[in-house]
Parts: sequence; structure tokens; C-alpha cells
Amino acid sequence: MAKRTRNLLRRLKQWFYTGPTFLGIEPYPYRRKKGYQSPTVLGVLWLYAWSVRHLTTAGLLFVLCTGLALLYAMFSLLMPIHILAFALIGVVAVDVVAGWVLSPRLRTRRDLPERMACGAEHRILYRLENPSILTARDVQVDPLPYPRGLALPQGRAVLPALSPGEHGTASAVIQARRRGRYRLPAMRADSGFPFQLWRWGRNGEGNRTLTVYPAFTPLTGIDMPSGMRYQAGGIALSSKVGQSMEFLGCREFRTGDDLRRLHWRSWARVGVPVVREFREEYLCRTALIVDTARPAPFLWDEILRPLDEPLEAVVSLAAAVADYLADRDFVVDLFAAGPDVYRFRGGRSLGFLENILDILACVKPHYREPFAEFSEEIVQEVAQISSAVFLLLKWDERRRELIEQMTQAGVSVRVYLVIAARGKEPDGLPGSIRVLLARDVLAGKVASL
Amino acid sequence: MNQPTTQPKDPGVLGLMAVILLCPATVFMVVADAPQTMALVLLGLLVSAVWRQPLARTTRSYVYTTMAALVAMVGQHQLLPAHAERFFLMPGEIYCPLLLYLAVAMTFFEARESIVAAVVALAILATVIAGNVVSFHSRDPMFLQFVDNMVDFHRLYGIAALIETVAIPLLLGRAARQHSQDSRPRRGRLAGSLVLTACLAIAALVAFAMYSSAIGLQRGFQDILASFLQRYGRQRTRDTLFGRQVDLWRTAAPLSRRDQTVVLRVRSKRVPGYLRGYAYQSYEFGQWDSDDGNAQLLQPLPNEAGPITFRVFERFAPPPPDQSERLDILPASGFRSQVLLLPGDASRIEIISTEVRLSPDGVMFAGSWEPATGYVAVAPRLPLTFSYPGPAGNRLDPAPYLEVPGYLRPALREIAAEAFAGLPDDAPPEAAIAAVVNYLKHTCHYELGVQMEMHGGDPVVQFLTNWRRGHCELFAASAALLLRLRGVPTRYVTGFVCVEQPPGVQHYVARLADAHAWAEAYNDRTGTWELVEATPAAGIPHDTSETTLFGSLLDSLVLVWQRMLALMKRGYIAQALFSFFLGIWGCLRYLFANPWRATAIVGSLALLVYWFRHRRRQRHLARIREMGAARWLLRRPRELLLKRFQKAGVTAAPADTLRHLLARLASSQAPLATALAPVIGEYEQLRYGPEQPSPEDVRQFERRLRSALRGPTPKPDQDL
Repeated sequence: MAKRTRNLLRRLKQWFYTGPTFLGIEPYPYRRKKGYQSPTVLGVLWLYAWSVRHLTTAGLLFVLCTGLALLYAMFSLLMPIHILAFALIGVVAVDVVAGWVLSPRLRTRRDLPERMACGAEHRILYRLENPSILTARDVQVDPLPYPRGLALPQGRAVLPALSPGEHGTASAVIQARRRGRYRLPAMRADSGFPFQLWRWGRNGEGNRTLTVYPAFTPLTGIDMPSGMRYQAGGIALSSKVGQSMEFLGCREFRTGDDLRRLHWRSWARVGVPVVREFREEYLCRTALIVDTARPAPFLWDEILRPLDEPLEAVVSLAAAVADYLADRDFVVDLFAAGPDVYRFRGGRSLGFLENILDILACVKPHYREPFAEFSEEIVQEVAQISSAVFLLLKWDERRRELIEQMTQAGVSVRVYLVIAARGKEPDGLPGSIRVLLARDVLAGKVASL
Repeated sequence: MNQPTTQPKDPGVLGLMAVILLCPATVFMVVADAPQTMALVLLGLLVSAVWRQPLARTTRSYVYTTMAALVAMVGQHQLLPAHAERFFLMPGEIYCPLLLYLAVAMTFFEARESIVAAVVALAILATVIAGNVVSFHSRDPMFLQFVDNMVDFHRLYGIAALIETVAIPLLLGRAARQHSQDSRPRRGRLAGSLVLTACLAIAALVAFAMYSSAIGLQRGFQDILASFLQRYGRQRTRDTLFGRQVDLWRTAAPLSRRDQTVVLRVRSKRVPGYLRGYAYQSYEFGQWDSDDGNAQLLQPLPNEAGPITFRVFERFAPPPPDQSERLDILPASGFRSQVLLLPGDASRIEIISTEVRLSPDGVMFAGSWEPATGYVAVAPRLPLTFSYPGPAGNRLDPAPYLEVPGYLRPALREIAAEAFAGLPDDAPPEAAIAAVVNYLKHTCHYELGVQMEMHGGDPVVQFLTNWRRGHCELFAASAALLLRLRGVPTRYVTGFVCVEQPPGVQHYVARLADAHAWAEAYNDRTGTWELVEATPAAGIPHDTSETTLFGSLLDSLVLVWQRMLALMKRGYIAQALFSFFLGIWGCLRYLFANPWRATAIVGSLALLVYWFRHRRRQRHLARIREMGAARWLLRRPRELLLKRFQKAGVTAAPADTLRHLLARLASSQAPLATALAPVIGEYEQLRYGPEQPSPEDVRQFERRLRSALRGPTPKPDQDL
């Protein structure tokens, strides 16, 4: 018995510390170092989660006002406020109990794409089925709050009634307002009947993640001298079906050569084993280096997280460049350092633009020096590349050194500095650096680089 | 917030909103004689109904509508003010119309969930404020004769609350279905309406049931709130002690660890004893009430000039200096008391306060004062035989101290007959006091946790007849009431019994557990108030201290610190410093005056020092063993090299190797770096090479290094 109780307690504790997953909030932001999680913070999170799960907006205000009225009324019965307080409590209590008794458990499904472009709208399709013997009334579909970067501009879907055994569909329009990778709340269909204060329902099925790509305007051209350089390991990494290394000639067999490369005819002709020799392909490989250095947000910016125009412009520009290069058989190496360092090679057959966009969707600002995160090996590797496109957010000595290092290594470099609309160009900026206004980039006014 | 809306407003939703808003408007109109508010609300709703197209939900429209509501409220308040006399605690004549006008403004927007929720919340809050009335007195003839008294008002309020509560779910349901995507005709409407009606009826029954047991609910709610505050409040001690009322219905919880919290520290040579707090005169339904309305303002005595910041107040003439004692009373941090806790015989106090008031019962209240600075009471060196002197000059008016509620008299008469059995009618008050104390000590016993029955009659009667066990408040209250019945003027007093002196210290402490209640009876022969201690010995705080030696040392350190701060604030900076050093001297004397203690302390310190030195030496040897004895000798050449680098302007960080320093030196003084390079190479070979060098090798290297470093100062393009 004691063991069973202990197991139950352990499971309860585990469930508590997992956090309210149905809300789509990862508990990790609330996790401190060494695995410690504050039970108070988690408790507040659970309280919030249960309040948004079960209380309508009106219900939440109603309950708060009821509590206030009760608190005030209980100081003295001479005031008639207790009559109102008791009536309000009666309504809430009956709504909770009657709602639980009368609410059928619906089967639901939400159809939603996995990826969207920022600014785009999409219609979410909900399928509902009422397998119970009770009529579902005032069904609110998908009522849990969505992450801040997503919005349902036309509101949530509501079905007045769903008879027993009936199937129904509903829809809502979702709008992606910020790029990012979002974890959506669980799909639910709740009934607010009878008083629309308290909701009962159950979780349904459906996709729980949504990646919002950065919005970008396709470029018509990039002024970049493309050159080919020998790439160690080269073509094998980027070969498609039908591609091969270039034949260089034949030579005598040496120990260790691949037997599959024996050239039988030459062997027959000269009498000694001869093998074919190949040369590695010269590739057109471009590095796309994205700067993420941003000043640390100040107090309310930390909370409100307003749109960071320069960073969004840089990410949008990076997406546009990647799109342009990927169409032209370049191999693109993406480097983006933020709190996490992203390094990805795409293009030709190595990957798809979607993969690069997936990464760009997740790029976050870095409040320290992002280029400090690049290791020496990465810098060396960039130096082996034919050309590099730098998308910078500021200009300083470290960036100047890095670009000079690349130039000295023979890499043709193009540098673009994105500044805020109200910002001014830094002093001593080399003439080769093109300055772009973040607002112009976001407005799609930058059609070529 | 800028979604264009094209659908006209739903008349049904608007109608239900109007019903919800007119309920509080009606109540407010009656309470505040404000038909103008009702007129404005009606006008606003009418305009909203005519204005079929909802306003765009933009920031600008929200700001404008809010401003319109504010202007309407201010305009009404200036031009046609409502009556504010009936509202209790908060200015309802301002808040209620404001909330109503804001809610009316909300009806101009599309009835989305948030807007409807806002209207509902504002209506409920307006109803709460409109009902913030405790009596109908003090008003002009009413403009609208809807109600005459509180009973009528309760009835009107109940009707309004009921209508409002019924309309809210209907509004929410209609507003939610307004955005339905199902275009088919709605099925099962009748069944749904029936269920809704039944639910509303059940809710009404629940509300009625709660209304019937409102008194019990109120009491339970207050108990829960009080226990919650007591348990989780930040200032735990603030609400646990005496107030202007004493509730005998409460259950005194058994002592816990928290009750050992120190609330007062008293530094004096005499035992402080009973420190009086509040004194209470009137008793009714288990509650003592203190009347401090007649407290007189004491004038401060002429004080010393200069840095002294405290003032001196006298409540009666002090004893001569050679027979008086100063009690330095320092409340612990976190403990607050509205009254000054003083011995009954204290005649004068020194306190940093703007004013001090003295009640006829001898209770002293300080105006704004700093509890951290404490206060000093001057009292006779030896406690007097009486608890508190009688009224100075004129005789005592005994009437307030002889009041016994009429409903209590029959039950108490029987008990009094038993308690005073055999005592002649003209017996002196001392005899009556002794008889009561004797009676209570023999018939009742002290116990915490006794719970009074809510329907079992007055707690004192329950205590004396049914339970015969209880805590000190019940003993004191019983003694006071029995003596009053006997004709002896008596009052009920609460405070602390401060008799505990922790071991090894010179001060006294009072803890939460030392809070106590007793009675004071007036002896008309001597003209003094006698202390009546009716609680058995088990319930009286005693002088046995359970503090450990370490605990009392900590406590005395706290006192030293607190007293030093107090003295500084009182202006005795020099005295504070002196007492600080005196405290240190006292500590040292305490520790070293006793030969055994001194030996033990000195021995312990010597052992500690030896242990530290031994550990350091062991670590040192371990490092030598790890590194090798010869390599250990390389420390000296390394230090020489570091000094040379420093002289050349290259400072070593903790993690820098000599090779790092050389590289840095090469950028500024290349010739010197070139000269030092072979020496450093040799050092590295000796220090990190595969073979352990011999001590002789190291010594030779050091000699070579010294001679190299002693060489001529290198020119900028030369060597060392």
C-alpha cells in the first residue's frame, strides 16, 4: 500500500514537473541550472493553463469579480452585496457541475500545414464527431491560446449544436505574424453550455508544430563574381544521379588503388595493371554568413518583444539570397551564430531551400558577439570557399578583420550592412560595403544585390 | 485591433446588455438619489441601439469612448453631483457611474467575447459598489421614494442582483452563438432552453441556501481568512496579538515552535513582570472592547538640547532617582504594537515620538514612532504592591467597570453565590479577589485548544458551567465579570509577562507564548488597581528559560546590536560606541575571566591554528611530491623571469605561460624577446622535459639565468 502510494506520488510529481504540455508551452524556459525547476513558477504556469483551458474570457472576469464581491461582502452582512455574491457563486457552481454532466466527449481533428510563410494566411480545417448519446451544445473549437506570433483574425470556430453520432466540420483562418518555430496548443473542442463561463471538453488530434518561414522578396540578381575552387571531398558530397568526377587519365596500378578502377583494356594493351585516374570537380560554393548581433533589449522590450526590424531584414535577405543561389546550382554554406550556432550546407542535391528556411525561421538575436562563436576551423573552412556573402548588422574591428582575412585567402566577398531606418551609417565604412535600410528590405524594395 | 466589422449589432445582445447595466444603474439611482446617472445610461444605450453599425476596434476608438465615459462622469460629478453620504469606505458616487458609463461605451463595439466579458465585469463591479451601503441614516428626503430602510434596500438590491445574474448567462450564450459557422437551422432549441432554465433555477436555489446561512458562512469565511493571513502573511506576528477587541470565541491553539519567537527584549535590573497592553471595559457576547476615545494628549517634558531626539512623557510623578529603575524596552523586528507595553507602575517614558496619548485606563499610545528605537520606562526599583495607581485627583467613576450584560446575570449569579459563599457583604475587595481567584483555581483548569460551541451561549458561561477548562483569557474574563457582579470595579487587561532571563545574559525576553490576560480590580480603600491573576500556575508564563547557551549568546548579540542602533538614533552615539566596546570587553571578560574557560578557549584556538598550519604544510609537501623536489626548485628562476617580464611592461595573467609572455614581449621588444627565448627554452626543458632534472642542474640554470639577467641593459635593437 505504501509502495503504491509512493509510486502514485512519484507519478504525480513527474506529471507536475512536466508542465502543462497541452498548452504548447515548453517547461524548459522555466528550468534553472542543474535541473532545478521552481515549483512556484510551475504552479503559476499550471494555474494559468487550467484557467485558459476551462474558463472563458467572460468566465475568468466573472470569477474574479465574484471573488472580489465575496471578499467585500463577507466583511459585513449589513451591506446587501452578499446577495449578489451568493447569486454569482450559485451560477458558477451550477455551470461547473452541469457543464460536466451535460458535456459530451467529442472526437476532433485539426488539419494544419507544417510550414507557412510569414504574413501568409491559411484556413485550418476542424473535423468533429459526437460519438456520445448527448447533444453537444455551444461547442467552441480550438479554444486554447495560440503563440504570440500566430493569430486567428476571424476568431474561433463555434458550433451551436452537434447531435449524437453527427459529424461536423468547422474552420478558422490562421495568420502567421512572426517567423519562428511554434509549438501549438492541443486541439480541443469544449462546450461552454449552459452558462458559457466554464468549459468542459477533451483533447483531440492534429499537428502540434508550425514553422513560419521568414518572408522574402525573390532577388533578380546578385552582383557576385562566381569562381570555382578545388573542394576537398568535393563532388562526392554534392553528386546527383548522372553526375561523376572528371576523367583525368590512366596510370600504373599502385598498391591500395581501388580494384574497381582498373582499366582492363589498357592492362591488356601494356601488360601491367593500369587504373583510371579522376580529378575532383571544381565547385561553385558560396558561404552565406548571417550576423545576429543585437543590443540587449531593455526591460519592457524583453517582455513585449517588439519586431526587431534589422534582424528580420537580415534573415529575410538571407532567405532571398539562399533562394537565388539554390536556383543556380550553387552549393550554399549557411553560417548563423546566435545563442545556437547554425551551420548548414545546401544547394544542388545536398538539401533543399526548405532546410535553409527552417534554420532561418529559428534564428534568434545574439546579445553578445556572435562571431566569437565561430571556431577557427569554421573560419578556415570559409576561407576555402569561392565566394562569401556577409549580411551584417553592425560594422566594427572584428568584422573588418574577418572580411580582410577572407579576402586575403582569395575568397570574393560581398558585404551588406543592414541598418534601422532611423540609424546612421557607421563612420569609416569601406566603399565596397553596401548599406541597406531594414524597412526597405522588409517592404520588398531590395530586388537585387 | 483594426479589424473592420460590417455586421450590424445584434439587438438581442444589446438588449441583454441593457438589462445587465440597468440593474446597477437602478440601485445606484436609489442609493445616491441620482436619476441623472440612470438618464445618462439610458441615453447612452439608446444611442448605441440607434447606431447599428459597430465601431471599428481601433486604439483610437477605444481611447475616444473611454474619454467620453470619463467626461460624462466628471460632468455629472460637477454639475449634478450624486449623494455620497450613504456609501461606506469607498467613494461610490464616483466609481459606480464611471463603471456604468464605461460599460455603455463598450456596447458601441462589436459584441466579441472580450467586449461582452468587459461589459459583464463592469456591471458586476458597479453593482458591488452600488451596494456598498451599511445604513440609511443622515440623508435628505429622497428624490425617489423607492426604499425607506435597509430591509427595503436589501430587497431591491436582491431583485436587481437576481435579474442581472439571470441575464448574464443569456447574454454570454447569445453572444457566443452569434459567430456560429453552422448555417443550418438550430436543432434542439427547446431542450436546450429547458436545461438552461433548470440550471438557472438550481443556481437560484444554491444562492438562496447560501443566503439562509449567511451568518455562519461569514464567520467561517472570516476564520479561514484570519488563519490564512496568520499562516502565510509576511508579518506573522502583527496580527496574532492584541487589538482593540478580544474575541473569547476563538480557540487558543496549542503552543508551537513559532510561539517561541521573541517579541520584546527588556534590559533592566529588576524583573519587568506584567507589561500592560490594552485595558478593556465593556463586554458583550464574548467580546471585550477597549475604549480609548478619551485618551488625553501628554505634553512632553522639557528635554535636553543637542543631539538627543527622544522626548520624555510622564503619566504620574516618578519615584526619586535612587529608588527608580530604567527599563530599556526594545521590540523585536517584525513585532508591532499599537500600544506601548509598560509595567503598570512605570511613571515616565522616553521615546522618539511626535505625541503620546494616555487613556483613563493607563494605556499609552504613541503617535508616529520608530519601534526599532524602542523606549525607556522609568519605574520603581522594587515593584509596588498594586498593579496600577488609581485616578489622580478625583475619584473613579465605577459605572463602566461594573457593567455586566443583562443576559449574563442570571447564570453568573449562581456561580458568584458559589464563589463568594461565606464571604460577608461588607468584606473588603481583597477578600473578594482572593475568593474569586481561589474559586477559579479550584474549579477550573488551564488548557489550550478548548473550542467553544457556537450555539452554546456566552463563552464565559460555557467556560464556567460546561467546560471548566480553558486558556488565560477565559479565566481573566470570568474573574472580571464575577468581581463586577460582586460590586468591585474591574477591567480586563492584556499584555505580556516578561520574566524569562536566558542563561548568562543580563536582559529579559518576552516571547509570543508569554502573551497573557489578567484582570485589574479597583480597591476603593487604597485608591489603586490591584492585579487579579486568576489563571492557574500552569497558564502563567514562568521564568524558566529553555534557551541554550548558544541561543542566549545570539540573543544577547541581537540585543547589543539593537540597543546600539537605538542609542544612536536616540542621540547617544558616544554611549552607543562605549556600550559597543563595553560589550566586546564584557564578552572577552566573560570568556577569559574564568581560568577553566580561558584555558579551553586558548587551547581551542591554538589547536585550530595548529591544524591550519599542518594542513598547509601537508598540501605543500604533496605538491612537491607531485612535481618532484628538483622541479620545485624551479619556482625561484620562474619568479626571476616574471619580474623581468614585468619590468619590460608585460604583466602576467594567472593562466599565462612564459611562452605566452614571450610572444607578447616579441611584439613590443623583439631584441629582448630574442635574448630571453633560449633561457625560456631551457626552463621549459627542465620543467616539462621527460627526465626529472637533478637539483644541481636547476641550481646551475639559476646561476646562468641570474648572470644573463644581470647583463648590460639591452639597447632597443640589441640584446639583454
